[in-house]
Amino acid sequence: MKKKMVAVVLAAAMAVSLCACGGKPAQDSAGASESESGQKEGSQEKSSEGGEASREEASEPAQGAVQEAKYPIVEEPITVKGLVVGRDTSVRSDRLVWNAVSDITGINIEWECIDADALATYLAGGDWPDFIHYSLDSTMINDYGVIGGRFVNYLDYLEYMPNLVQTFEDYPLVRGAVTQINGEIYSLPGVEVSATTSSARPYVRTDVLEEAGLHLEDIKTVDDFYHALVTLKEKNGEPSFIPFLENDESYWGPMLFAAFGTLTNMNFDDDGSGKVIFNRTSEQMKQYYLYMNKLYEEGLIHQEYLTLDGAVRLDRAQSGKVAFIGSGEGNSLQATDFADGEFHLDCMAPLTSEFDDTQEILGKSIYFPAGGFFMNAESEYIVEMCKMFDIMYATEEVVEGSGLLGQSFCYGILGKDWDFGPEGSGVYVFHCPEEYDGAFTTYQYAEVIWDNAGREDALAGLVTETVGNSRARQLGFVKNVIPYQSDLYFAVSLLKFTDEEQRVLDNKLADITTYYKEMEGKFITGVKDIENDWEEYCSTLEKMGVPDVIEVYQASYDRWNAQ
Amino acid sequence: MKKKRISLFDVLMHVLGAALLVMVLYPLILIVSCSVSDPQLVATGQVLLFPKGITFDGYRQILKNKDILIGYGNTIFYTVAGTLINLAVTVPAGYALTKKTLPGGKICMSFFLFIMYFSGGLIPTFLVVKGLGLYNTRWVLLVLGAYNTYNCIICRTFFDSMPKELEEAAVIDGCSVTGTFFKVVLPLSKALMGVMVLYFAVGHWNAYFDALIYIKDDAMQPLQVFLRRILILAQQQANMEEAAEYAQSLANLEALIRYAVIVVSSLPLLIVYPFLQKYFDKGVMIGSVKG
Repeated sequence: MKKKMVAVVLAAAMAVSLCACGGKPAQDSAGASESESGQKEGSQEKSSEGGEASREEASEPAQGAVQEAKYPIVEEPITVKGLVVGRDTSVRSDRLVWNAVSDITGINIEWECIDADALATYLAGGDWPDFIHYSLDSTMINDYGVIGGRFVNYLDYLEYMPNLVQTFEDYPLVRGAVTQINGEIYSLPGVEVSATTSSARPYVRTDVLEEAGLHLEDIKTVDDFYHALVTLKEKNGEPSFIPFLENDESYWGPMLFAAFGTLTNMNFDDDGSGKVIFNRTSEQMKQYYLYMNKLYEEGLIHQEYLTLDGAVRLDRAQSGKVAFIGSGEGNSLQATDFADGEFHLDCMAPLTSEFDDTQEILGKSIYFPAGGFFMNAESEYIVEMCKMFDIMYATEEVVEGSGLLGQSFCYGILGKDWDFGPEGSGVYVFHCPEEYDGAFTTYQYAEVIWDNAGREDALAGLVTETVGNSRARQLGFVKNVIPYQSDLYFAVSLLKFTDEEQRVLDNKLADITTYYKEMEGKFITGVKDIENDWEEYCSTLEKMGVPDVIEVYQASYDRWNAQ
Repeated sequence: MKKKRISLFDVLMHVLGAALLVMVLYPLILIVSCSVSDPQLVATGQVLLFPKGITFDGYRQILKNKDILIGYGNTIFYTVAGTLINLAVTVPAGYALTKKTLPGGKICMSFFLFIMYFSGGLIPTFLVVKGLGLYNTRWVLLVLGAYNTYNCIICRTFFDSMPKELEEAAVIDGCSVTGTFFKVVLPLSKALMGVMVLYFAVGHWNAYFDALIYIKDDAMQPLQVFLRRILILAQQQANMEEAAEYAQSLANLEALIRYAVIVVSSLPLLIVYPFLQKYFDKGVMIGSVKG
């Protein structure tokens, strides 16, 4: 009897604890759906909980009411706390760009670093710093921002951020990217326009071509490409093309796909009129698969391209027998891999075909989400921090001689860590400390910045002065890829969805993607016959819910365009 | 003198034992070999047992980081102090639970069993740790997990198997319960203590998650956190779009560091274990069902 009583008590305790878990979130969800209809009012009320003085000063988003920046920002130095995640603080030196920011603004930053695994518990703990310099995921943004109201809405403080306002005008896509489902902005955008803002990365070893009597500039059509591969195989005895087709927005996939029609995006796209379309079942995709299958069947593509690992790819790229390099191994080639020690590395310009004689390829988003800068709504220095963060969007030095402008939050201090080359040279110069052996990126992330942030377009169209792999690739992008990138960019990764829409995507999109990528491999390798199995492939995708996904994307895209 | 006949069973047992030895020893030797071999040779599968192209760059990279010494010191402290606290909490609890006269003994045991299977979760635990003022202190790694129900049950089972007459004799001679425990029972429990020390010490040595979540200051981080950080940073650097020669050298270094990290973190325990083995031999079946 006693044992039964104990068992009943334990079961009751478990049941009570399960019930207790269900209370708050349901109320939060109800609160969230209620607040969606009156979001702006709700968020303004939440923002007013902290920083009373700042709220009194804040006005509507500025059009001609922005305040000119003055430095220092504060009369008496202040200290704010900033959180970075997953960074090594042990090697930080006085070269950190934020030290220079503190010098001119009078705002000192006390940095706190935690591991990425500890972030969720840190935020739940409630003891927050003044700002978080990290790109939070959408769940955290939703829970703490949209529902919780714990973040500052930057729209309320745009009058203090003239550079950011200008950036929004210059790059409207960027404003949309950081605007949440409730119309508020909790984080600051990153903008990158440089010699590597390239979608396709079709690397070519021009020395391998020349040894076979071929020249890159002569390869203009898909037929020229085919014949080049035939010539190379006859000379070298192995396929000279190892495509990496996993990434539909980079390397060779979008580049070759674009040759077979006017579409540029291999998956979901804007047809030019604001209507969302799905290109995996298009006639252009079929022609692309037919071409790739032909290359595969004739042994012009490496027969194990689907399963080769990076070490083997690199080994083949270094061998001097593969001209058209599939993926990241292009970054890893060294001077010693070339017979004369010079970098014969370029990018192939977009091809044309009987189906399309334009050379337009997939566009590239200039927005990147790194940086974050989620500001704590309870901070007492909101206005001051807004003025400080606005430096990240300056297009000129904010204080003469400081070396601080938007680009500094990527490469460091102008004049100290990097410089423009002589006028007309088309280059920029890195000043990398000796101990880093020319590896500026390593130096950059070890000592100069925590993460890329701000407006990084000062070096658009310029390439590094340092001769080497980076310079060779940048020249290839600037000459043969970037000029052909479409201005129309369907920002599918930047769209925001309601809970209902997200559920549809969670239920259907992963399976759809898995299926069409699997079928891509099967069509190219000939496991499935394109002509005979195409209709079944299209109808399978239809049944898997592509129309529902298009409907969700259309609704979100309409909201995006309406912003 | 009669020669011992070697039976088929003996041969089979020796062959099986040799196979098991190879299965266990081969990965250990391979990891040590890979940690000092040319990473290109390792990546292309040319290092099969013994090192080739010997290089100590991986160890150099790890040991030049002064945080490693801080981590070693912290880990030794947490292992020693944590194990002592674990023993002080768990072993007496196991003994107490053997006493039929313990008030609420059954309720306690039921409660311990309940918490063995169910916990509050990460965030409630974090809030409790913060509320108790343990966040970002050394105490959190010593106090959290001080009591372990599974090990307590092992202790209880062992103490249950000891002859009751010994304790009765001590009581007759005027010994208190505490005195009986410390002067009679514990001296006879060397096997148990050896096993418990091993279990707790290995747990503390390898622990990193609690440190990640509850400790912010690097001065208090254990070794595993620094090793993990070195490895992650090496992976991040190798993946960056970088000057090609440096990227390749970083990728090679990252591969070396991976193996070197395994050796650096496991070596102290591998050295200590043989000294505890005799106790482990005797005590490993302590928790098993007695006849």
